[in-house]
Amino acid sequence: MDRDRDPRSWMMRLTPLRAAAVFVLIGFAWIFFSDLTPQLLGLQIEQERLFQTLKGWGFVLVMGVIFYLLTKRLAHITRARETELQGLLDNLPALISRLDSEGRIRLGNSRFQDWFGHRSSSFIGKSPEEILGADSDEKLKAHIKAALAGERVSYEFEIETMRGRRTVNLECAPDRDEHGAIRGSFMLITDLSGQRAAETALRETEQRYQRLVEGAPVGILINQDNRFVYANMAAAEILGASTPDDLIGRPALSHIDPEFVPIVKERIQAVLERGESVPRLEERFLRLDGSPVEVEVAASGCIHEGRSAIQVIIRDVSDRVAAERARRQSEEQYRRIIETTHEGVWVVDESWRTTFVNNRMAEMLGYEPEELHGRDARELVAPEHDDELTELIRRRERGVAEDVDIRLVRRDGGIIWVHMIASPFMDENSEFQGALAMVSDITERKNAEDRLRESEGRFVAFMNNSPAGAWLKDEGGRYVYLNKTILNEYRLTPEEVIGRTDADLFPPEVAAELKSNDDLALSSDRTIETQETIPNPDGQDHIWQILKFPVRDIDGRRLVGGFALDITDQMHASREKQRLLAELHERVKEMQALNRVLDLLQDPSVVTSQALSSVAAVMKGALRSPDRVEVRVVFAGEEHGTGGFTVSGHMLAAEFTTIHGESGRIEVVYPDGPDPDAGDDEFLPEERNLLNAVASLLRSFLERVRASKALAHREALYRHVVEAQTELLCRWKPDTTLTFVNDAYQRMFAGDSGAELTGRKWIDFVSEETRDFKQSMIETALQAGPNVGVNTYENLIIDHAGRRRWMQWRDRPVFDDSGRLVEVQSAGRDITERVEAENALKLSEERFHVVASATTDVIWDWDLVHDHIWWSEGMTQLFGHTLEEQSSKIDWWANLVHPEDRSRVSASLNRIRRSDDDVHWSEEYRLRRADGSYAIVHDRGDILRDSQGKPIRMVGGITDITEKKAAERRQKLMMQELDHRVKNNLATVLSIAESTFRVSDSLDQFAESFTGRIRALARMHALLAYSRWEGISLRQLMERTLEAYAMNQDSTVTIEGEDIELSPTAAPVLCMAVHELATNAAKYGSLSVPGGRVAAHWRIEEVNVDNQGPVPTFFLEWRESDGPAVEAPSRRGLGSDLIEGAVNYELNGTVEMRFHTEGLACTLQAPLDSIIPEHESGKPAAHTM
Amino acid sequence: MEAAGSRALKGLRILVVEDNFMIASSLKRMLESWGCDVVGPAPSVEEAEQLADQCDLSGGILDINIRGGTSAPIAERLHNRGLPYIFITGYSSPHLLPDELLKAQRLHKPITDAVLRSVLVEKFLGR
Repeated sequence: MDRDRDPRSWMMRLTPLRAAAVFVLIGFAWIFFSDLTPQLLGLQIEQERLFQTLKGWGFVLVMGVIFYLLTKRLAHITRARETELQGLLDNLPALISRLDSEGRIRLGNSRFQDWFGHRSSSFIGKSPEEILGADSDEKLKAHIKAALAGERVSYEFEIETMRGRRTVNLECAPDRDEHGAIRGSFMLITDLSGQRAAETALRETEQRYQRLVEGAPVGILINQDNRFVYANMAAAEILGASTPDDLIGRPALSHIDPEFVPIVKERIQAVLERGESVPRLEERFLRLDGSPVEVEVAASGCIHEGRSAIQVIIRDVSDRVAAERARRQSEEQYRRIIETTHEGVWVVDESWRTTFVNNRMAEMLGYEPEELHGRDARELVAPEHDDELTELIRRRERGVAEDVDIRLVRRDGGIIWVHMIASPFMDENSEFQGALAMVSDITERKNAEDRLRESEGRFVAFMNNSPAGAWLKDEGGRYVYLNKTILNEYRLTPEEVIGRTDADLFPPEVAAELKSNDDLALSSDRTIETQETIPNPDGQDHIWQILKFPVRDIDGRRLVGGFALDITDQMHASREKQRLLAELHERVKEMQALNRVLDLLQDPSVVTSQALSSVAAVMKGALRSPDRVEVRVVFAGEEHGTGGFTVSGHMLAAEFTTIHGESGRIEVVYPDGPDPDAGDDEFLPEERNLLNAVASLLRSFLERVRASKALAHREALYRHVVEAQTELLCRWKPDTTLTFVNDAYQRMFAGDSGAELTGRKWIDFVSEETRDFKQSMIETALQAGPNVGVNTYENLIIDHAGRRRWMQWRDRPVFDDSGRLVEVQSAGRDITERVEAENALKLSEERFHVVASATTDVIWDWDLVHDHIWWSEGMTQLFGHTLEEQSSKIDWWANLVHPEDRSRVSASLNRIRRSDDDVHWSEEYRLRRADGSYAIVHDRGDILRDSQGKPIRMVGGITDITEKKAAERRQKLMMQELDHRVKNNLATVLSIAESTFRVSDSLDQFAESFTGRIRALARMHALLAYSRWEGISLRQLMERTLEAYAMNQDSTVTIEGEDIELSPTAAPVLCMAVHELATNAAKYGSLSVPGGRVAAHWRIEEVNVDNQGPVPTFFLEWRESDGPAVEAPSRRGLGSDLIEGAVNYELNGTVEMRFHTEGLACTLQAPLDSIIPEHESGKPAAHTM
Repeated sequence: MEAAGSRALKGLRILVVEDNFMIASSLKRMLESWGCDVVGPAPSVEEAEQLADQCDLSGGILDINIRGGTSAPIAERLHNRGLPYIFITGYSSPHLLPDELLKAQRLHKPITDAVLRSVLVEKFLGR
């Protein structure tokens, strides 16, 4: 359409052929018309010639104009084309240029300017390498050369541009002319920087996503065409696969529990078709092994390898579902208790607003349950309790649970007495959160009690005003009640007597008599009559006529009652006595009658007819003239007005009506008419009261009968629910007779046989070994009474096919209103697999523990997966680490290893854990004991691996080898020490020999001296060996050395001084010194003549030494006397040199020799430290002999 | 030969450390018979240390176990002064010495003069 206006369009179509044709046509037309025109115009010759001339010029002119226009047009087109092309090139994001055959730039786009700041004029004619920078020179040249040679090349490199360093891709392609000859090349440089950055970012994101997915704690699966094409580790774990690969390719729906398949299909549809992501849903998946697993599933669409797929996120919620199920079950149970209970249930929140009441509770109060919601519980308490209410509220809020008897106000304003078991709920901070009360209506009982109390009050008033003394004692003989009469008589106050016994009050023989009579009354269970003599406070004996009788108090305790008349003055007044006795009997009877009514109150479960006849009997017994009176109880039938008494002549009657309209009547009648003489013409108020109490008692009884019927009705309903259970359910009587079983129970114990199980005892199904256990469970339930909750236990049963199955039972005992166990409801579950697995485990553990405790080693068992280590008892026995301080973490043990050994031991442990096939590990190291000392231990263990070779457990033992090591070391030391000493001795002997030889004049003299010295040394060594090289007694050393001389009867050698233990180094020195002194004395001194004396005395004294203060010093005094006349020797012999040298050198001491006329006096002195063993240093050895 | 050896040892000043008087005396006599000057003998670590520090010495003969400990500190002092020393000991196994002193020559008791002399020649004269 635009074609007409576009100057190029027709030019475009102007091919050379067409142009030629146009020219020919124009020329043809021109010639034709110019030749014809003169003729047509009829021109003259001259005119015609002029015309021809003009025609020629005209032609030239026209052609010129055409040519001009054509050329201008063409130029315009070319320029437009070039601009267009340049614009196109300039807008390309790449650098583009054309190179000539020399490799110089002929054409380039504006990138040259953007990137390198070159204007078109400045780069034309340059080579690309000049523009692009030096570092790309060689390669670039090579590529351009290759392009010029006809190759297409492409390579990536980095260049420096005005916008910084860029990664670019260069492409070169040859530019060929129409003949295919290469006339240059095209170069295209594309900036890849942005692309690279994007690629890197993408890769990172992908990796991050992948890592996220792989390591996600939730399972992630991708489902494409109903197959898993991806799964992460968590998904594999949830579905029980060891690796995600095990799941790949598996049909997705095969992992869905059939129950959920339809909804899952629907969800898949929603995701795939509508692209919705579906909300979380809890579904049941099937694991690889087919077991179910509860999971929470969310799914959304995704693209996997270009095609749509579903990303499924699953989370294992088995625990939560199981917990919820358990909670639901417990709620169910709880609800059932509440529904079936005969008691009211009342729950309030922390501000005492009612949050729940059950039907029974509402019924008690005369409301609908909904009406009570939100009501403040405190408002419903009767105003009579205003005083104590604050205290009750306070106690509840402090967390005290207790039983309370309280009056509540009904909707109609009536008052009911309830017994309330109130338990507060406290949160973890002990803040009051509300309370639960179990409420039973005890109005009837309270009324009866009130009446009884009234009656008792009367009784007490009577007692206190009776001339007879009266009292009650409990079974232990302690007084619980005494009337005023007796208190006054004995001038006692109740405080002084209550709780004490006769033995506390009276002389022993009197007390003993009283006690035996009390016991007689109690054991015979009847009234006995005695006379007792009891001294009064003035010391006068009083004779009492006493009636003793057994009674029960309101709590059911057995008591002994006593009535006593002081008959000291009236022993003979028998008539009076008879009268009083009769009265006493009356009172006793009254008391016993009351007592029987109490019994009845406590046991209202007696069967109707029995109850009625016993009521009649009690009534009769309670009346004054039972022989003449008939008591009838009429129940159901006649109408008798609306309650209260009717007294008509000789009949007393009371009626009772239950709210069901069942009514009855008790009549007390004199069949023969009243006998005024016998005093029975009138009924006493007491008798009327009694009658009234009995009537109300019956009313209460009937009420209960009705309630139990209602209960039976509810039970029938709940039986339906029970039948539907998959657990084994049954009900049974206390002797285990089954009264009901459900289908599951029937299947377990009878199979399909259809055998009747009810009426049989289930104890017969229980395997022998768990039978006793079961029996005791029943006893437990019986003993615990109505407060027992659900009782859970396990036992072993034999099913219909004779298989042994472990069952877990939950028993709920059911008690009747009087607290008697009437039946038990049980629910059972087959847990055989679990128990067998547990037993196998326990057995194996036990076996291991038995072995572990049988060895003296410490056995350990290290669970490498959970880093949990178990130590046998040896850890305590060998090293003193008690169980409390032991830890199951390996760090605990590592810290016990000696720091110097720790890195070595843990390195070898790590090595074996990392190793593929090593199994045995063993190390010796020092282990810290509980007392801080170190034991040397040999520890070794074996590593256990799973089927993949992963180490999972190490089991080993530690042996204490401290003793063994110490013994080895001691032995080695001993050997070395012996070696040392032998060699030292040989060296000493050699030195002695050499020294002796040097000063000896003859061989004989040498032999004598040498032998003497060696002998002395040998004696000393004998002592040293005897003391195990540890030290020698100085006294023994002296005795041995001087033995030979002391035995000479002609001379006297005395040794004196406190014994000292000598060190092994000092002993030879002293030995040699004493030996030399003695030898000299025998040769030249006092021992050389008969009667000569030598005294060798030693002592320890403190001597002041310069710079050291007092130092304990050893002195040995050698005194010779009664010998030959002494003169100082002309030359010092070897002996004295030896003595002085050795003492000085080895003991740091001195030897002083004084030659007195009466004999030699030698004083040897040395610091005590140098002669006693090192460990003795500082405390002089001083054990006397 | 013996004479040559003995002459060669003449004038050496040798520290003797030995706590047994008899052995110390005979060692002293032996060395003096070869013309050596004996410094000491010292029976204890304390005395020996003093001598090793203060005296002009050619070397030392040290008993390993002496009063107050071992002669290792004396050996160390001699070593630090660049002086030769030899140990004499009754022990066969060298369990008491620091590692760097284990390299030193050890003679086992009892010592014969021939052995002592040749060791002295070798160690103290470097022949």
